[in-house]
Amino acid sequence: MATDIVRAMAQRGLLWPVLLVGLALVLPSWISNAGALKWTLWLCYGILALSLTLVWGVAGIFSFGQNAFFGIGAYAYAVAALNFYPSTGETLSALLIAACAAALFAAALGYVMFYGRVGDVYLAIVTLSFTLILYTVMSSTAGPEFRIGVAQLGGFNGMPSLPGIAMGGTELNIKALFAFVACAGAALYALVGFLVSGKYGEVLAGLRENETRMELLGYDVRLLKLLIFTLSAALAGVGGALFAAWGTFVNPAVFSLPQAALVAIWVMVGGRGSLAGAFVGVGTVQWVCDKADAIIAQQTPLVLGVILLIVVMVFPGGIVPTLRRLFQRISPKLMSRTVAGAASANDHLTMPAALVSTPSVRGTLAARDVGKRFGGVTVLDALSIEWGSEPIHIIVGPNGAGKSTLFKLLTGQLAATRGSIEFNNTAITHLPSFERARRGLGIKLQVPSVFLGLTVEQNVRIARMAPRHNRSAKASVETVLAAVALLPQRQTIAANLSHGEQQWLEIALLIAQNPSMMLFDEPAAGMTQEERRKTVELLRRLSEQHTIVVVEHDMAFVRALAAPIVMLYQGGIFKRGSFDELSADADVRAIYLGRKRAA
Amino acid sequence: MDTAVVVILSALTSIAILLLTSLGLAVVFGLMRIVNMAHGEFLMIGAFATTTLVRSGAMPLWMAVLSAAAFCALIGVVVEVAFIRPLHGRRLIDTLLATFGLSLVMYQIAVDIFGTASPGIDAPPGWLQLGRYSVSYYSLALPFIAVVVTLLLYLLFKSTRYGLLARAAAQDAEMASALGVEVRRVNLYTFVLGCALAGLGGALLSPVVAVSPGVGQSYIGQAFMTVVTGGPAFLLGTLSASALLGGVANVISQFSTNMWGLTGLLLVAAVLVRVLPRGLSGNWSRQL
Amino acid sequence: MQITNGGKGSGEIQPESADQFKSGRRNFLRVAGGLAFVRAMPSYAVGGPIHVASMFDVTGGLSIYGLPEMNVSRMAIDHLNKSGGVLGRQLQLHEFDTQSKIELYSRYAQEISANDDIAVVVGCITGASREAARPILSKNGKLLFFPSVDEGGECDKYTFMQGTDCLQMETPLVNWAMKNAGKTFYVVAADYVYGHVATAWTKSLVEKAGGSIVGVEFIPLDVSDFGATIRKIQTAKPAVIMSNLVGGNHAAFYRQFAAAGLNRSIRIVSPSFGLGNEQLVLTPEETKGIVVAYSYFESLDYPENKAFVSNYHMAYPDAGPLMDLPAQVWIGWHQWKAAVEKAGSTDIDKVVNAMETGIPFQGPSGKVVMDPISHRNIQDVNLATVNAKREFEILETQRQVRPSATVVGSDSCDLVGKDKNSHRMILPKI
Repeated sequence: MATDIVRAMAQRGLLWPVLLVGLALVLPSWISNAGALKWTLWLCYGILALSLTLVWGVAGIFSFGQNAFFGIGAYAYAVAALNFYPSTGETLSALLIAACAAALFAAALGYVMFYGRVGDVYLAIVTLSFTLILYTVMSSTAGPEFRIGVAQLGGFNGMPSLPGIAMGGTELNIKALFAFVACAGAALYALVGFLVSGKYGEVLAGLRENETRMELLGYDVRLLKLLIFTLSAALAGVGGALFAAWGTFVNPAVFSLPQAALVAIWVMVGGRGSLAGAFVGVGTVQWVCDKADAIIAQQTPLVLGVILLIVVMVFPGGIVPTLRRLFQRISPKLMSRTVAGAASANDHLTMPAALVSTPSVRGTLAARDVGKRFGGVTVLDALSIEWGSEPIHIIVGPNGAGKSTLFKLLTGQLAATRGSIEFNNTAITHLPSFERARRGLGIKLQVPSVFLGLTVEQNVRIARMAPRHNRSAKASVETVLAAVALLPQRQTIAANLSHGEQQWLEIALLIAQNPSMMLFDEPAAGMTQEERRKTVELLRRLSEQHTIVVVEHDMAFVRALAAPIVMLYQGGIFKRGSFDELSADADVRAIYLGRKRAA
Repeated sequence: MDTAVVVILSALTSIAILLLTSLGLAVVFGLMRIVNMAHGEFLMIGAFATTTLVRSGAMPLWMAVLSAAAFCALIGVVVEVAFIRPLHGRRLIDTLLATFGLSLVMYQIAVDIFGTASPGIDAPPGWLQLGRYSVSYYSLALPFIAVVVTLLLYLLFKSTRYGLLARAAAQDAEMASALGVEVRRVNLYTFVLGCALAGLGGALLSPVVAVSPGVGQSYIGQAFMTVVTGGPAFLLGTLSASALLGGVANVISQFSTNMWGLTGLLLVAAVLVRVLPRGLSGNWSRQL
Repeated sequence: MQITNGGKGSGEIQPESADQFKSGRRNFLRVAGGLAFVRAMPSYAVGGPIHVASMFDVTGGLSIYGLPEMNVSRMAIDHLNKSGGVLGRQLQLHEFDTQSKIELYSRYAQEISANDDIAVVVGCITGASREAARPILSKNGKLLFFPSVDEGGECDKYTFMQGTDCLQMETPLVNWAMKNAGKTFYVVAADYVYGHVATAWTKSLVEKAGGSIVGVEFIPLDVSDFGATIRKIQTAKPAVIMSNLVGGNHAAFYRQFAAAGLNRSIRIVSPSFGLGNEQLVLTPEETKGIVVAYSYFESLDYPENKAFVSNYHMAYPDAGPLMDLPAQVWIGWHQWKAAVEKAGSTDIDKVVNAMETGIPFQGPSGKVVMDPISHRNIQDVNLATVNAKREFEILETQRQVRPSATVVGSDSCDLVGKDKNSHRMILPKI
């Protein structure tokens, strides 16, 4: 009974917050002041680590400058508290201002990075540079002209004698502050836990697992990233403000390189996928820092460096996930979530009566005079082609003919160098990918693009939740999975599926997305003969309600689809016709056999 | 007249220092997508190796500089085999954190060996009198050395087998390995080259800065910014980024204060990241 | 990390500190020197031990200053204990390693404040670290002795400033330069509070002495490329450079200055050179002619200093030469002892009153007397230059230089008059 409650709470991410509040209320009566001071500091750091866990561990954005927002929060708190405390007698407003200031800076930086499409490697360096810039800037504010209200910024020396957390004209003492910070930490933890366990959590997981797929499903990845980045910065800002209140001072060291790295170390040691890991990581690393001197005198950096190396090389998952695995092995009942029984092999593709309850409008797509050049190389040259007159269209062509490039232009993953693209009779040439997806353009990529780290069911749920413009009905998760015969594996992690199953899962995502136009880039690649047969059947079935365009190499597959074919060669249309017409053409056969076409 | 010449010479020295301290990072990042957080420590090791060799009287400065680079290359071999290779294929963040751990270890070892106040060496004596100004020969030599190093690297990547393979591996590791490129060996060479370049940079700086265990850390921030603003063409991109950032910082410092020079550098870098998110060389067709 | 050692009263050394002594070369030597271990000492204790504390950056970037200061602190406590303790009681030193992390100053200051036993703190290195700790300590009625040179402006009833302030150092430097080098000054200063205040003092002193300032430049702490600065100095053609540079990066200035051949024609005077043993980092060629001013040098010819230096180097054979900061730690502990014995108690207000009577102390730097108004020492200031063996050679000595009770361009402090209940820092208005 008791274990049931604990398990239920653990699943909703509420166990830790409740424990923390309990600790906060019980502990102060019997811990020493020194202990309370130490733990308060660790909790402030824990909130900072939690913010990185949210943005990195959950949403997959590695911000190497998370301490910048911690520092901004600390400085904002300092300035606000010094100015307002004498008149208002409280500093809670300063805490709020700190969160807002950090969020504001993050929104500005995030806008530049995410809307400028800064890649993940660069993102790490840009965020790190941002915090180092703040270090330099704040260190250069020693002159008397750097003053905000009564608060002197103080340059390298920083700002001393700040008011602590105060209410009603009195500042909290050491133990009361500990209780306050513990409650604040618990509340923030609960907030993040709530976010991560709900629908929004699945969207974030999608962002972490496969950004391209999210975009092709119709999610505005830039906006999502900006939101989560800003939110996590606000968290870090609160941590920074509490840190300033705890130490009653702040200086530019909060922006330094070692501090930036320390945040990543905490999260890495604790386990970047685990919210509790944030606090465990801080506790472990800071405890080691405190004790390192006792183990090997005056060698703290060495000890820290060795720990980091060991964690990265040997336990890349971090402490909490490693412990959890260990615990699961010992006591699988208590820890593991309900996992569906082993999937029984289902050889038959059971097709439900209708994949969606109301048929969607068949889409039309047209490329007019479209061309693409990379540097000096022309990959596609003034191509004009229309789809939508038939349920299924097929594109064939040898490697390098420009098939995949054409699809990328259609979905907006690449921008056309010339020409225009129309979808359902409106121009979409300059729309971003997600906007095209929302209008009903879906694509299955050549290499299966699914959310590998998530379960089959979660994959489909993310696709179902994708925003779109028309409010067409959505098929249920069960219907969609039944259509691709993956229902028995609904709890399986996508990475553990076979290649063919992953292909089908991606098709399932398309079905859940329910676009009016579906593009398939080599859907049969890597499939067995039997799987191909089923895929043909599935595409036929889908074509009853959607327009389908297929790029394929496999000639048996193409023949089975029995649809009009366009053949691309060297960036242009080479031939149009039925399968029989093309297979009878000598030039086509020459190209496919690799011979040069006679001039 | 003499003022203009001296301003230009001084700007060239600043650019050369920025370039020499960034090249190692740029090579490793550009070709292997690894952010080497221990880059600063390799600078530091290069500098300490030079001062130690020169002070022991074993060799003249130029030979000590080359030996320091070789020594860093040697450490690079160990680091690559022990820490970088096992992480091949893992996320970028893993190598970043591993090299950061390494930087802490290397820093502390340097503190244990050299202490925090270690004797330095003299710069080669002599200066050039230009009107009212005197400019030390050594600061004049730095831009020349930077140019020579860049040219040698260009030749290395343009016309040797290793250079071609390294660039191919950077383009597409899977394809390169399918083509028979030994990605492992190429990556080893690339990382070691990066470490040697860092060591060379530190060695060349050792006569003009105070060499301490923390000396590398004061360069790493600017080196990062140079590499980011340089973009994918890791050689010429880094060269142009150094020229732009170093030039801006120095010239503003000349006519205003050092603080504004530093601020100017940061502003230019920030604006560049917004306007050209892929760096100065983001839209170039060359990849060197 | 807190290590409690010494003191017979509470007896045994805790296991973790015992471990600490087993490892580490320095610590081994410390044991060999027989100084840190006072375990075998006979007890003179009447009551329990008096608890006292030191916090310095023993590790990290500032350990260059912090390590010798902690060593001397330990040595001073040991010396006081061997010579009978204070008020007949042994002293027990609580050591706090702040690891060059400013937040640890705040944390340990709060920890010390919460410990009713601790009577006094000798500690802090930079002005920033002092301002992180001092308000917390004095709010909680803890006495602080600050052993660094500083810019002035501290006005706290419970704080005593051991080191020389800007005025004490710069007055003799400016006078010496006017007499021996020339009347035009160029100021290069670190861009932080100390640099700004020191520069303001330089300006006012130079003007008073009839010289002129031909240029002022503030250098951010992370700058180590001085090409632009050196060009500007050559344009301005000063006779003297007043250097208020600090830290490792800034040491590069002296190198690049010498490499351009400027040290032939321009004199550098500095109230900050040498604190980080820059004379060891730079070559004699580069340091030739630089003139500094401190109250303490290892070469001072007092018997108290001879004993101090030889004891220190016996205990720490691989340590560098003693500079001003560790010597001030020694002086601080002895001034506190004298005050406690005069007051007959460790009660903070009684000790402060006793301190303010100005008990003269003859220490390694000669005679020092506490000035009650500013809570700063009246002490000798020595001008010195670096010789070919990388040692400081004393040029001349100014006897009993008075500290400043005012902050340049700002308020004044009178801790026995209008400020007798003050716990503040006077900020300069420049």
